[in-house]
Amino acid sequence: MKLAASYVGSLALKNLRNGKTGTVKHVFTNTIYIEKDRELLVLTRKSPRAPINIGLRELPASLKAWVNVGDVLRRMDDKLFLGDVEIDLSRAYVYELSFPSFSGEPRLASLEDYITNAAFMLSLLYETSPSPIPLPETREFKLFIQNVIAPLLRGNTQAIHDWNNYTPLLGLGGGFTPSGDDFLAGFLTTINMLTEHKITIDRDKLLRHTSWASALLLDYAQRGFVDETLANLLLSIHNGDGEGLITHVLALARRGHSSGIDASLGVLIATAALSRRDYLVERVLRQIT
Amino acid sequence: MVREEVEKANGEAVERMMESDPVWVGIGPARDKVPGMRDYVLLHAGPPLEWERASGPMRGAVIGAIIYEGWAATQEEAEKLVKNGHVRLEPTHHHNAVGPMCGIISPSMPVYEVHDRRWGNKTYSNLNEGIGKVLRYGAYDREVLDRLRWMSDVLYPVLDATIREVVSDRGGVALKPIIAQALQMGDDCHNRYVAATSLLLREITPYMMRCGVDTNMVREAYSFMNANNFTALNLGMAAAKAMTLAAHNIEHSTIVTVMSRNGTDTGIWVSGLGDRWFTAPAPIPRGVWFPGFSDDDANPDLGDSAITETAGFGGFAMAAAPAIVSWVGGSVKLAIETTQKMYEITYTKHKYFQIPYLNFQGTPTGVDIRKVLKTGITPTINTGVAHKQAGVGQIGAGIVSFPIEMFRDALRSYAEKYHL
Repeated sequence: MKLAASYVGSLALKNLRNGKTGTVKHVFTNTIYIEKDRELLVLTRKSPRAPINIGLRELPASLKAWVNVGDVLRRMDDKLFLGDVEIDLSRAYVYELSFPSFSGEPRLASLEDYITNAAFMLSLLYETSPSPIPLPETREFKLFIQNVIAPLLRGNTQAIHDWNNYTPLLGLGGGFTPSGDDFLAGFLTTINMLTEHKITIDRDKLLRHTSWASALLLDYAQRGFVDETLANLLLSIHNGDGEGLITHVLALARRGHSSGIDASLGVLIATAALSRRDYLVERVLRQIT
Repeated sequence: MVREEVEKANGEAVERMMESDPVWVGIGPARDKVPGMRDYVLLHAGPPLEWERASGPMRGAVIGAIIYEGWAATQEEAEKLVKNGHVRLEPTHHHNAVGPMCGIISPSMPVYEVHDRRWGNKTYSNLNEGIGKVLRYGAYDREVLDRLRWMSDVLYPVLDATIREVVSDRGGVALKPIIAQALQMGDDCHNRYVAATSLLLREITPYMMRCGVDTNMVREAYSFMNANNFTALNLGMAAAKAMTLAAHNIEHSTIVTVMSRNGTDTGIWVSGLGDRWFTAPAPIPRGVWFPGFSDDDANPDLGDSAITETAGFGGFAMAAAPAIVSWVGGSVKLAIETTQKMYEITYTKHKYFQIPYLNFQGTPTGVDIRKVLKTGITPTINTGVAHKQAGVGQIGAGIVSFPIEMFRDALRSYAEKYHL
């Protein structure tokens, strides 16, 4: 089977340059997860684009028909070989996440109603996901609000730097990327991109508490390597663009079973907390729980 | 709290939709039957539309209806009447009516009257003219207008006398059993009505034979209906309107109760949000074209007939109608996949409409705006395609997906209305 790549993400390109081989860890209908030199490489035909992805141009049927877990990825010049699949990179462009250099304080004041409405929409969407217990209903989530968000609202930023506050959420919930990880990806990316705080949970710690792929995705997210939907959402928040916030929350919410909803919630909670308006956090929580 | 309310409301909405019992009980001029219908008013398919934004086929159908009514003698005079506001355009759905394609209903046109025996509502639709060069596709030449007059002078009196006989004998023609049966005979009951038309004729022919109208008129009427595979479409649509109307205006419900297009815009209603339209530009269908036509000739999507999908059949039941792909394009596999995808955005499986090929599963029923937004999958419908210029008529049939923007706008409005 011959396929062509439409783009290669900047991080994926860097990863491809190191060494020659990788190993397939997970195969889904539209996406393959590959371990290469301890990094994650994602082959996918799904949008949105992301720095760790190689976007596939066309796909006649499920990738499962040609690729198996354990298959070896080999690179030869402009071609990748994987199981029975050959991927031509020669016509692919490089996708560089053009994360804006956020300057100045995020314009949060005009976003209150949008954030509340977005939270309510997420609560409606949670009901359509198959997860038996939505993340906001869990004890661990409530603990996180108590131990991290409440102090943050009081101006105490110590708690967001204490990695122990994140461990209960790591690996929490089912699915390929557990709900707790998705929430933290949204939360940490928001804090790291929109404030001067830089919180990075050590990758080895992540790997001890959640699955390999989810740990790496969270690691990339906390360092700002996120897909373009999440990037656009953060940009809307920074610019005080409420319409954009709603549009991008709903776009992000489509990801996975509840993955995008959990990540969106992480963004909204972080944004509400950054606004230092306790009533806004309360409103978000009231909508969502 | 909200979760329980939404769940309860949606359960109630789809239950009412499925338990609706639409029965054809009458026929008569729109001015006598349709609530709010009056002279110098034309009803059209889809969301509200101003003349300036109307597409070619919609303009053609409006002009044709004005000439048919005798309000003007020429195209120019007709256009003047609409432009100066003397003739008003109103959406069919504002009058509990539906019409395929342009959906034009004028005061003199005969309309079917459908009574929902379970919930008491009445709904209406015009009579089907056949395919090709017809008013509902924007054609309005002499042949088209002559046919409309014949329908009024011959077909209408025959059907009027016939339905009176049926009503006095057994209350009317129950439409849900016809749709349910036709779905098991290879119809989707939107773009394929072959079985449903046969079943309808089987129901009414004995009454037609003894209705007391001149035999030649009866023979003409029967031949016309029998030769037109879409005869049952308009009754099917009025039935679907009755079903979805029963599900409308349920507080907190996120179920879609109208999906429609006017050739310029496409629009939806959501049960818990009342009669507010959420609109987006109408897409152009992917079609199979009649000889001599191509994509370049196609008008954006048009018609109230998506009311069938709203009620849980039509494109949502494509897996029941594999033969339809020869009419709308695609493969049998696509037909099955379309139905399966629609399960992802609907609230339930229909109790009464079943698909044999899918082990008699109920059809996907009750589009839930939450699921549309969660999955990014929008309703897929089967549709006819009109030429973009007024006067030409139908040029093919195809498949089209509704734009996601209007579902997003609806959820936003829902959040504004219901958030805590």
